[in-house]
Amino acid sequence: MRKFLAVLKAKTSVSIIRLFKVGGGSTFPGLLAEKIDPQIITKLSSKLKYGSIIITGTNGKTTTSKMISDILTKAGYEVVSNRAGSNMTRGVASSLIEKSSWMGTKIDGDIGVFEIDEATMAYAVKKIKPKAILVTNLFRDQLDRYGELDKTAKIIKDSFSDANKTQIILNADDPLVASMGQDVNASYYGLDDSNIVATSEAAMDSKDCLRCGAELVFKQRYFGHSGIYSCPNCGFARPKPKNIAFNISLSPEATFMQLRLHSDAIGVSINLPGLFNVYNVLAAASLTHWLGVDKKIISESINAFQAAFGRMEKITIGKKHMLILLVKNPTGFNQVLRSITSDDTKKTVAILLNDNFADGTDVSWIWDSELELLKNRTGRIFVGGIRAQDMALRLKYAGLNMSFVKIIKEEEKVIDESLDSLPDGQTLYVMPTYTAMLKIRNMLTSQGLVKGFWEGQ
Amino acid sequence: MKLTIFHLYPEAMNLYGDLGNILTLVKRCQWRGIDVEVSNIKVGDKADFNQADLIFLGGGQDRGQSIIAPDLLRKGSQIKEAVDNGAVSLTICGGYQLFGKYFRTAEGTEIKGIEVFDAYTVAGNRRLIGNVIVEAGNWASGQNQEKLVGFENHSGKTILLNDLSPLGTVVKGFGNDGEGKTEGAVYKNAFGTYLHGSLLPKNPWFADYLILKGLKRKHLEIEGLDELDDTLEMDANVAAQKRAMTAKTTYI
Ligand SMILES: [Zn+2]
Repeated sequence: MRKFLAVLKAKTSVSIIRLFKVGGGSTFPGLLAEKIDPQIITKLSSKLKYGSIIITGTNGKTTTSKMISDILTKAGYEVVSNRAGSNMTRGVASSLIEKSSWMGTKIDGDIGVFEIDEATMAYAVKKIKPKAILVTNLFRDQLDRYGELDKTAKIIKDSFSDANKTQIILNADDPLVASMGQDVNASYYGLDDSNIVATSEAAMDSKDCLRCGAELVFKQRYFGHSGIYSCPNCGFARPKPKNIAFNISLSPEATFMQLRLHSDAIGVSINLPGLFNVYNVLAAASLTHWLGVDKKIISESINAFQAAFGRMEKITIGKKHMLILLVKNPTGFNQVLRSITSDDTKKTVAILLNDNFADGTDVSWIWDSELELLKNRTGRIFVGGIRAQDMALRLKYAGLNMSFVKIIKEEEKVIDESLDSLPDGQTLYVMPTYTAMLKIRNMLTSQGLVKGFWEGQ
Repeated sequence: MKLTIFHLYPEAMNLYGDLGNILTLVKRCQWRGIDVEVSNIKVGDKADFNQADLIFLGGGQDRGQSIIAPDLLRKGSQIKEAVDNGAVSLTICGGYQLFGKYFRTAEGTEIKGIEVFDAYTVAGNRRLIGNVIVEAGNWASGQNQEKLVGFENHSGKTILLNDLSPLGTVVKGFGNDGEGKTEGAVYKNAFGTYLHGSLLPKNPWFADYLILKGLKRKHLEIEGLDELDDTLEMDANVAAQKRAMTAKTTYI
């Protein structure tokens, strides 16, 4: 009875919320349902025939989850996922309710793919009882919310203790992530490409061995603290991955790579730039290959992949284009800056810095990001958001010509004015923080330029 | 004329935009045609602190703090001597804590500090997080600005002993011990604070104050610095103050 009531009440709230379009309605029903029946997630997710997968980590959760869902859908699974970007457990509850019958006895789906915030892992693993957990990477992200990076690593590692039969799939190249493989059923993925070399010391978030504290020695560094490393003190070293990406070729528009998944080999190309997306592809391929999906289906889905909103999705407006690149931490920001400045053309750029809870209320991270990369690579720069002045100040100290920088506070106006100034045929590069991205999205949705929250991403 | 900055442990202690502080000191010297040199001091490096006009130490995670603490202790007496002879220092968050007597962690272990400040820090049971506004103390009289704005995120509570002066009084925020009264500490030209954000870009008058004091170490004749256009800096300062007054301060 309790489950029935929980599902019923929450179902009602789904339709009411959608009707009035309050915030997309992606977490509220779940919140309500969990209040009425705290076991709702466990009860509903246990009805998924093939169980559930959890994806966690700082960067790449959304893109990787979407890739996994696409591959599984193509492979014939009925996927239930918390796609609308609500990766607290409430979002999980909402997505389950959304697919469940009114009585909560049946569920329209057979596998769960859930992206989970690092801080919620303990609770989520207990409730969902996943068959596999994928950890993408750990970088500084909204430290104000989670405390410190080492503590985040511990929260994730501790959550594994509630998952003794679970397959743990880890990024071997990130020492913080790889060190979680001790005493669990772990498999690894990583890059194997001697041409990828980090050029900057910035955003080295974790240089020390998590097990003994000594400074790690890097034989090769891909970016940030990712690479091939070992500890000279305790012997901890990058585990040799069975899933690898190699022959990687990067360009501002697309990425090619070859993958070896145990004994299977495939070549894939995606219409997304940046090394980050190589990791996203490799992670998604490793997990779905472990689930037994055919390599042909994996490569076809990856080749046809369309990014989620704000994750390098290209939007065409009349004769102009707009590329929206969500930024939320120094490492991610640096990757974005690197990929848009990798050729010599001068780009028109809009940067939107908000400091709401979902963005991280502390804006100091922009001082750890290499805005210097924009020097001589940009035409006009439009700066907006609640902390627009902080971003403009960062650009001043990065040595940019401030006569090309314009501060406009409101997110919508920034987009309006920067598109106005953009010549036909060119692309506007928009770098918003999370809540600024949502504002742009709502604006574009209301103009019919992108599909709404609920129409699949 | 040259300003020599010693940046202590830039790798282990670089939380929350500490590089922004160094960048601000460097740029504001360069814009005025003042030479500036930044020496990065790592664990194990020999360093002659008599050469330092300005010593900077940022914040770190607990692990970073315990890694550098023994090395800092070895350099402690030299640093204290330099401070007593007029060297300027700016220490932030974890760095500020280690410039006190000790930091007692939640597990009860004491990490010894170098006692530039007559203060100690104990781990608290909540994190103090949010935008902060501080009214600078007496040391700032005569400056045309007196407010500092930044962001705090610490669980340690710092207790000032005897007659050690705070950096200032809290207008908005938690401050040293979470009581919302005092923030930071000042001893001679040594300044400790929990404010990052980064601190110096948005508080250009304080950056200039440190630069001038630092230059005076070797060039007593200097009376002031050339003026710079700080419109953007002060716009950011005002925006941050507004945010501090409206946003809810939270702790987790
Ligand atoms: Zn080790």
